[in-house]
Amino acid sequence: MKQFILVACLLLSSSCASQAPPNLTPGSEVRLWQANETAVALGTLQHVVIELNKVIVCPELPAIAPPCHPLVSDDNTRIVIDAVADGLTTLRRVPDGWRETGLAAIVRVENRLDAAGMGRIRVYVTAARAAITSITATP
Amino acid sequence: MRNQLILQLFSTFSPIVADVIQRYMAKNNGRVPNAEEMRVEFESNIDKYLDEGATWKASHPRA
Repeated sequence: MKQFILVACLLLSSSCASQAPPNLTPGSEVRLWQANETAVALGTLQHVVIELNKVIVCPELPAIAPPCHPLVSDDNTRIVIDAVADGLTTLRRVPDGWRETGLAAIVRVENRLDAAGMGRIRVYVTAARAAITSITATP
Repeated sequence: MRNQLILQLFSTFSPIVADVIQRYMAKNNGRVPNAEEMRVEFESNIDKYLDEGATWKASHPRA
């Protein structure tokens, strides 16, 4: 429940905070700012997943449950890293397409993660999507 | 314990909300970054995140 309250707070606050500063020159400066915000959103998602992969959890009833394992599996972590890496590489090449690139990376994560992995990181994927969609297209 | 960790990791999203421009201005006497400085920050962030992913993959080869 706390997670969803935090997501709501993020959505409300980011909608105000992600507008490009008005004193930036329209054009390349604003586009770089938007692309940079998108890179930070994707990079932060990746960072969180890598940190969750370091957390090892052990079942209370080991006889009927799988042995100790990372909170986010290696396979799911690799999926996020690959999606983010492709997104970042595309962002570098085509900063103007920041919104499409950022959201495509998020969709790729959502489509490829297994149910357990998605359950673990859904709140962070939601936060990353909110961060990207809250970036205004024009200053 | 797990919920605390999740909440702690969630706070890592706060830099997005805090706005990189405002942080830059605070560190540079209110000066707004120019296009070149913004490009440097952009490239630096991309390199940092690509490196983080590559480092993880290097230490976790496929089974």
